[in-house]
Amino acid sequence: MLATIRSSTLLGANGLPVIVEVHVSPGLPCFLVVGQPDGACREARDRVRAAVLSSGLSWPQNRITVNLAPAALRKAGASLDLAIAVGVLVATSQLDPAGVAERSFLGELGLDGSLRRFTGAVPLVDALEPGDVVVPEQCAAEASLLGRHRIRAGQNLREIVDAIRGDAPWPDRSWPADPPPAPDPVDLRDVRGQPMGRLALEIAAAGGHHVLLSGPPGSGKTMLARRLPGVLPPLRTEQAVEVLKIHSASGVALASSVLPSVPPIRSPHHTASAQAMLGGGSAAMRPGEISLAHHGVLFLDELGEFPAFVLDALRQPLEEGVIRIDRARASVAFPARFLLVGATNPCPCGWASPDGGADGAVPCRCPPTQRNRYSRRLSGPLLDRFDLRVAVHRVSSDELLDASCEESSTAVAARVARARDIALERGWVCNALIPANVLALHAPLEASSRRLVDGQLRSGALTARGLDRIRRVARTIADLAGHDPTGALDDESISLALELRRPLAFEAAA
Amino acid sequence: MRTMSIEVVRPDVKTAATWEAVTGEAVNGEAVNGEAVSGEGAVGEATTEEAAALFLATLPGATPARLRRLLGRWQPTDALHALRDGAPEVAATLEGCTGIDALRRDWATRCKGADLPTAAAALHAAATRVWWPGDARWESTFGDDPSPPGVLFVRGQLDLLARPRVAVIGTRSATSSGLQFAGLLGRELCDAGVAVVSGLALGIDGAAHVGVLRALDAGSGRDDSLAREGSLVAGSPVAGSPVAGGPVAVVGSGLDVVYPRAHARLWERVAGSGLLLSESPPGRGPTPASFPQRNRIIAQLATVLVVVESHEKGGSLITVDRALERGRRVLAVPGSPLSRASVGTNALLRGVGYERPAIPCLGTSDVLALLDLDRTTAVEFRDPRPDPTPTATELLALMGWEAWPIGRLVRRAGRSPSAVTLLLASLEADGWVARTSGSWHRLAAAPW
Repeated sequence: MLATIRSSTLLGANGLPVIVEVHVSPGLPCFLVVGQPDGACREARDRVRAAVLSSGLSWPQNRITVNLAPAALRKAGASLDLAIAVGVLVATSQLDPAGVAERSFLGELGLDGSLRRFTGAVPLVDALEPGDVVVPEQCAAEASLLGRHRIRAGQNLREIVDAIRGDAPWPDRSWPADPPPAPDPVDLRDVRGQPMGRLALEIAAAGGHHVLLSGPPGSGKTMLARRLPGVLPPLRTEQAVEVLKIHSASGVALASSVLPSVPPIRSPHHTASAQAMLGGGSAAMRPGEISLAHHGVLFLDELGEFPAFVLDALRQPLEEGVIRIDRARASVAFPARFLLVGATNPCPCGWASPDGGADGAVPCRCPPTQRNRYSRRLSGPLLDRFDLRVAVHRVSSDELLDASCEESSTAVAARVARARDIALERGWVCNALIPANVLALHAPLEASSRRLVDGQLRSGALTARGLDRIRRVARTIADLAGHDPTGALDDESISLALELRRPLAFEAAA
Repeated sequence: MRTMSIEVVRPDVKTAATWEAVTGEAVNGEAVNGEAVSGEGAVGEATTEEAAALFLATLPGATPARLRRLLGRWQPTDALHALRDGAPEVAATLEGCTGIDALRRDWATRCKGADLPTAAAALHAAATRVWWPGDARWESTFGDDPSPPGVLFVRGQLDLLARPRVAVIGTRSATSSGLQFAGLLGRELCDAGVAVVSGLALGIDGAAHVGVLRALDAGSGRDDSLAREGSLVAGSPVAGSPVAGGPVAVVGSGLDVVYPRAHARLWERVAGSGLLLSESPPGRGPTPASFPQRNRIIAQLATVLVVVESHEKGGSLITVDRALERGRRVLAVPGSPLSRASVGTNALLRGVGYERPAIPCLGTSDVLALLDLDRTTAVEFRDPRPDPTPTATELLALMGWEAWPIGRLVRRAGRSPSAVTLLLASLEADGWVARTSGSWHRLAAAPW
């Protein structure tokens, strides 16, 4: 007899619907799973048999063939266990086919019949047709996040079989919705001094420009970067769903059972491998850090310590907003549109400052050759991606003890949101994405302003691409300042954009 | 090091005749020596004498002292012959040198295989001439030197040594104001007709020579404009424009081994419009010992030594010791007690542990006064910068002479960051401020 059960499997950050067909026929007792199951999926045979028997149900002494359709797609993970078990029960008439017709099943089985958590509940449920979805109780909150399906949850196979048979009601354990997460406790109000750091953060958030922070240890580079998500505009629903699907697919424990509104921030350690940064794997491809930072912030502390090839691999996703990973068995594109924030010390000892021992700071102990070598660690093409380069100086005691209140994240976020609205009216999410060919329309440069950039263009300090980037940043600055969104760029905005793009102390050494 | 191929030269008549001819020519050796090195920059075929001098300098164990004894007595080819033939005078000349017997035997063997054409080709390839004791200029330059070099390798114009000579030296890790002052000093000294001696090291040394080259560049342009103006006004070209000085660099490696690599362009420019000197033969790289050796030559060449910045234990202080041994006058540029790059120079000014304290150097006039050079012979300095706007003047006043990270300047000025950057951009375009290593600072004069 034949049974057909709906389920889904994970490919990259997306779910794909899978039909589990179970055929029970006379013959020597055996249990076959076909349709390209991977290791964990093939082992479902042993788990499903034990779980069915442990649940007080009977296992047929017949030939059982399970087909996972479409056959061309490789199936990964153990989330098909429950669907296979239910299929066997239907095919052996232990369950009524009508009871499973409008339902989909997702879940990993234990040998004792218990249902276990699996990764990627959000994208897997998202891939299913509307209707009931039966999932393990631990996944219920995650599975119900998108809200398009009715989620049925159980602790073990027996509960679910009883509910389908109508012997017992569906377990009605309501998983309490988490309260909306408390506002991020980190606030720009806590940052003392650093007018340029704050300014760069605001411009970065408003225009989507990448930031490089350079400064001695303890000057507040990390502190500034941590506050960037708080001033970014909250995620729109479709962005939140994308973020959620990626995080769910990667197996990261989700923070709460409501759609996230604060953009994510990821700060991988510099020992992270290229695969961990970009994503990868053989059959079950997992998103990397750059995808986990999608619609959010990727903060690379100690930028110079990252292996050069890992950093250079970031260049293509930085341009395209997506990372394509190609392996022998599969090819997956993960979204990766993130705001890059790099932090670096100016030299190995960290204390190089423009003028020797000024301000009582610790003087740099590095010989000039070593400083040069350190500065060469970051490739020119990567440095070129940073539109905003800020030297973060040690805060003076005056600034530290100044009782006056700094501006809060909320106030900055309001200006950022306005600037983003202006950018959206132009047709792009943020100014950094304005294509070069329409810059003349959206960021016109008046003849009188040319003298500001002429010198740098002639000396070669500024390239044609660099000028395009200056114009985008200047557009953002003008938008933040409330200038006419369709007018020409003003001199102040251009000079500030130029100042913020100047090479930092450590680059000048190279 | 480029090795000289050693071949057994057959004592055939032709070779002997060549040597004969050379020896004959070397009767007025001074003329040959002088002509060889002061030719008009065009490097022709190196003479056999020069090739022989190079060969002697590359002999193992050929210290300056031993070379000096040999070349003080013979012309290079004669010295080669004497060594090769084991002439009895050699023992007398080198008497007192340690291990000299073994050395003489070794040198004799090597001199038998001397391949002078190859040596001449090596000189030619490195565009280098050779200068050795014996001519009048050497005598006037190194006559009173307690430890003069044996042989010097030369690129450029040796005539520059006839000018008043001032060394401008200092630390490799200099501050921006130190670099600026060194450049200013270089430019103004050059304008006053001084040969500026330095070591082509990173930091102060390089900045001083960049300043000299700027003066030469500006000088050629300025002279033209003056001449044109003069012809318009008086109907005749301006006469008697002062003779400019030039850069003189003494380096610690062969003249074809550029060190530090970052100064490759400066190196070529100094060779092109000034003078490059080295004790090391072409092909030899720098060693830790070659720099203090080089410093003693700088100390000897300079009538006056200016230390712009020096750390507590800097190589510049070695040069100062060598200069004091030679009775040279030493100036030091005072610096902030908080600046590490000025600890050495400030100690020189205090003078503890020295025979007498260094003379403070607050400007080019302090140096020129010591040289008895009339400052007015220098080209009159006019600030060519357009006057800043009142707001910009206010900002300049506020900046003082400190280095300002942009953030701190914005806070102090009490204006919006974009307004301050626009002011700075226009001031920078006019040469009033500059940005180095991420900080803004005022410029005392238009950038050199």
